[in-house]
Formats: sequence, structure tokens, C-alpha cells
Amino acid sequence: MKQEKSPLVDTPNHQAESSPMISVRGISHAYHDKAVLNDVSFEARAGECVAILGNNGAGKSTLITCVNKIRTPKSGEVFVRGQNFFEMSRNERARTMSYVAQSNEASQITVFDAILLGRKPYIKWSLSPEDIDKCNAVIEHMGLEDFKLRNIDELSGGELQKVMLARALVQEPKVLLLDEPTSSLDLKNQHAVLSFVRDIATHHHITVLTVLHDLGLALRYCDKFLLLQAGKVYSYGDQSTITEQAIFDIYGVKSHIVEVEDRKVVIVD
Amino acid sequence: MHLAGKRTVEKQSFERQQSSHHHGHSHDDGRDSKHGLNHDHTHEHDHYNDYRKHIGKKWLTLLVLTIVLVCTVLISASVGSSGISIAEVVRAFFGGGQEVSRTILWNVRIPQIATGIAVGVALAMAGCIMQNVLRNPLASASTLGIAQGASFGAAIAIVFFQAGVQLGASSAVTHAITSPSLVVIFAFLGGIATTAVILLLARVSGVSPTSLILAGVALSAMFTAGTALIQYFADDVRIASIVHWTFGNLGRAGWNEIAIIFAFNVIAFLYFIYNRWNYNAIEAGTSTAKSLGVNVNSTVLVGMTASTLISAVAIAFVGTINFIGLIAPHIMRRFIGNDYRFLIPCSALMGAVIILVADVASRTIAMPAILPIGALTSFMGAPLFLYLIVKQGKRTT
Repeated sequence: MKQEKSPLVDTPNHQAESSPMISVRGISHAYHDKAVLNDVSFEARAGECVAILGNNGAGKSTLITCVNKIRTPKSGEVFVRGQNFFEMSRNERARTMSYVAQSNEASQITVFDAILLGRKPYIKWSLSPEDIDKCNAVIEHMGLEDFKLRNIDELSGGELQKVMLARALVQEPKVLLLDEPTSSLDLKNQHAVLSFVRDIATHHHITVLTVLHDLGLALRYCDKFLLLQAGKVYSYGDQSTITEQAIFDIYGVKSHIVEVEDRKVVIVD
Repeated sequence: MHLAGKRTVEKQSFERQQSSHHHGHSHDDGRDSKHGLNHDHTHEHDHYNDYRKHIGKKWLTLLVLTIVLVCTVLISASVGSSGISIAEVVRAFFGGGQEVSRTILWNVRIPQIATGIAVGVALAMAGCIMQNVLRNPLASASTLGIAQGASFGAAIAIVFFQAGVQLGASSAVTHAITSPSLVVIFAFLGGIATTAVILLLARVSGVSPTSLILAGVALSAMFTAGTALIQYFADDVRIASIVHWTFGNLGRAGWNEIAIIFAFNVIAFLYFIYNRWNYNAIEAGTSTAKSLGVNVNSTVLVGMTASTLISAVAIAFVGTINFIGLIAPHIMRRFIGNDYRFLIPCSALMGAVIILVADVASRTIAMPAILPIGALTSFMGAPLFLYLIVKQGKRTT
């Protein structure tokens, strides 16, 4: 996954880095009158990785599905590059944001066809050579050529996760949403997937919002940290927001934080 | 942000130059934009050809299936109480051959084959789509009770609204439907009532896929009981016609009925094919489908309604023929996977093949007696159904 291997064309980003790529404003949601999200707002710039952290039931997964309008939130708005995301057409939304679910259904379909699905928002009637080429470019970039024609139900968890990520990337999104991308992976694949995501975000100006359970992984690969507590934003910001107090408030565990090579490491007591 | 293209292309052309340098042929300069562009095209072409090869296998499957269907049609046309050789069938079809062969072919065999094809296509397409939108490999018109609901509706039309009459009380076979539209409407109402319950259970109550089939069992038991009650109160002539009809019979539909089934099939097929990418996306899970821009709710709703409509129309004219909608798509999944671009047409053809094979079997196994075709398809389908249950059980545990 070397950078110079990248098939993704770097379109130089001339837009002012100060303007946010995505702006989430006052998202609230409830299931059967039980509030799950309460006035969640945050902004992120192009190329940033945002870790969404919190306890089970804090509303992390609900938040990213609401941001993507997979669920329609009770209230709130999302703007991408200043455009109202919720007012876009379905295909326009799918060309703006892509999403990788926590667990994926592996059906009898080849890796290639599964990735090709990411071109769906662009397909009018038939596929264009461009669609095929974009899929192949991502397949090559992610080193998936060898099982291009294997069925995805024969893949390991790590391979399947890569295929889903590839599918989300051929959507050419501005914002990539990941719901616990590492939950079913072994240590090696956790780092492989996240460093790949990190690389894509940095070099192709995609904003990544990812739900993570592992604070260590979050601190290593993400720039911003959104801490959710019972559906509300506890804090949002860079590494400095991760404090011993915050960890105690969010997870209810005592810890101390040490710095190793300029990187924060959380040690649970 | 644009994915693909240039960088890889540059890299590839670079590699190619290296390899050609190796063989000492190339004078290319990697930075020469003109040459770079040429490579760009060749490269895209390679990928596209690669893809064409991949997709070619699926087209081949479709072609083979068409040939199989033609063969099955020929066999079906030649087999029967008065055997006609395949050569004679072909001659008679093009207006040659003996007078008697032509009469048998055009008046008996061809209408029956056309009915078989129409019904097989309808049931198989419906099963294929239902399995997709309900996320349930066990779904089909007969396993969800939709076929039984449609039968019940059609029975009401025949008995209480005089939509069907029996021509001559002695010949149980020649039952004619006098008002096809009324039978279709009632069959559809019966089918759609079942679909509504299934959809409510699946979408609103969040019933698991396996339980959905249990709901289908309950619904089909209820409608079968309803049909039995109607028979109980009907007069002799009508009982005979309903009983015969519950076995399924391809010989009952006339050209009008065949045309109606075909018309619905064509419309449904176009709609299904138009939505092929939506079905492929739903196969990846509903959340993922939504993130890909699919209107999941309407795709499910319209898909189920269209599937119910084509099954109900088919069932209204030929009676209950079970399990075609279950068998055909599963056989085709073995060959082409869950790619609905090809699964829909392949399942449709497979449905036609299976029903014609069952029809030939029903006319030859106990010759000269003709066995009910519905019984034969159930004998083929039930073991597969059990197999799928075992397979699904293993996956969930």
C-alpha cells in the first residue's frame, strides 16, 4: 500500500482548507420516544479522520447512519462542501458519501461484481468502460487482483472488509463512513485497513468518519475525536480532548495517559 | 476527487515499457504524453476485455439455457399419447408433415408448451425477486402462501361469480374459464392479501426469515381450508373443476389466457431488469443498499407486488404448481451467483425448462394416464426446500 502505487488521481484541492468538508448540525434521533441522539454537531475538514468514540449504546452507529440518511433523523442537517446533503437526490447522496456497514452479508457474487456495485450511483443504463477501469484501479491499488473472480462468501473477514472498502471507494465519495471497520479483524488486518484508510484520506482529501472501539487505534490513525455520551457530544477535538478524566467519564474506567514518540497511549489501570 | 485512471495507467505503461525494453523493442519515453495516451487506451481496453470475458461466461450460461429450452420444447412437443418424431414436429411446425401431426401440434401441444413456458417464467421470476427483496432464500409464491391465496381467490371467482364453467359434466378436463379477467382479479386479490400480511410481518414486526416461512405455512393452511370450504358448498360440476384445478394443469389455458400471462410477464420482466442494480445492492444488505442510493422501501414493495401479480395470473389459469419459484433461481445461483443482471433472465428460462420437463414426465411416467404436474413439481421441490432449511440453519448457528 505504498503511496506512489495509488490509482486515485490527486485532484489538487484548491478550496480553502479552512472551510469544512462536512458540517453536521444538531442531529437528534429517537427510537420509540427514547432519545438516542441529542443535538449532535461537529465539523471536519477534507483529509481528516474523525474517530467516533463512546460506550455501547452511546449512539455511535446511529449517528453515522443518520449522517448518511440511511436513517432519517428526527431533526438536524448535514452539509457537505456547503451543500445541504439531505436535499440531494439519492444518487447524488451516494456519490457524495459512502458507507461500510459493521457486518456485511457475503452472498454468492464475485469480488469484482461486489466492487462494481459501488458504481451503481453512476450507472445510467449500461456500464461504461470507465466504470470497469475505476474498479480495476481500486482492485489493483488494494492488492485484490488475486481473488478478483472469487466469490465473496469464500473470503476471510479481513479480505471481505477490504472488498467492502474498495466498493465504498469506487463510489468516489467526499466523505467515507465506517462502522467499526476493525471489529472482525485480527491485529495485522486492523492496522492494514486503518493505515490504508488513513492514507486514502490524506492523499485524496476524503473525510473519514469512523466508529471505533479501540482507543489505541483511534489515537494512532485519527486526527479528531468525537466522544459521545448517551447520545450527546461529550467533547470534540484533537488528541488533547482525550484525557484521563474524559476516559473515566465515557468508559467508566480509570487510566493514565503516557506519551510515546509524540503519540498518546492510554493505559487502563 | 477522481479515482482510477492516470496514475495506474502511468505505472502500467511504465512496466510495459520496461518489459518491452527488456525485449529490446521499445523506444517509448514514459513522459511522452502522446504515447502515454495510447497506452492509456490499450490499458483501459485490456481491463474492459477482461471484464467482457468475465461477463461472457454469464452470457454463455444464458445461451446454453436457451438451447436447453429449445430442446425441451421439441421433446415436449413429440412426447404424448400419440408420439410424433422430433423431425415430424419440426416439419409440422413449419406447415409441413402430416395433417394429423399439425392438428395435434397446433391444437394441443403448442398451446400447452406455451402455457408451460409462460407459467414457468412467471413463477421463477417471482421467486427470484421475492428471495431477494425479503432477504430470504426460502421465499417463493408457494412457500409464502401467495399461491394458495391466489388459488382461493380464483376459486371464489369460479364458484360464486360464475367465472368458470365446465364444458360437459363428463369431461373433467375441459374446464373453461369464461371470464379470465374476473379470475385474474380475484386471484390477485387473494395473492396480494397474503403478500400484505407477509410484508407487514417482515418489515414492521421484524420477523426473522425462517419465521416468515412459518407465517407462510399458516397462511397457506388457512387458504387451503378456505378453498376446501368453497368446494364443500359448491355443486358437483364446480367441485370437479376446482379439484382438478388444485392439481395444476397446463392443458387448460387457451390462447387468450396465454397472451394475458405473457403480457404480464413482459411488463414485469422489463421492470425487474430495469431494477437489476437495485436488487444487486439489496443483496449486500439494506443499509448498504440505501448508502448506494437505492430506495429500498419502494423496491421491496413494488417488487413484491409485481411478483405477486405475475404468480397470481399464472396460478389463476393453470392451478397450483408449487416450488418452481424456489427451484429455478437456486439452480441458477449455482452457475452465475447473485448477479441479478443475469439471474433474472436465467431463472425465467430455467423455470420454463423445469415446468416442461415436469410436464413431459407427467405425461410419460404412467402412460397413458396423465399425472398432475403440480404433484411432480412438489416432488422435485420439497427435497430442495429441506436442503435449503438445513443449509440456512447451519449458517445461523
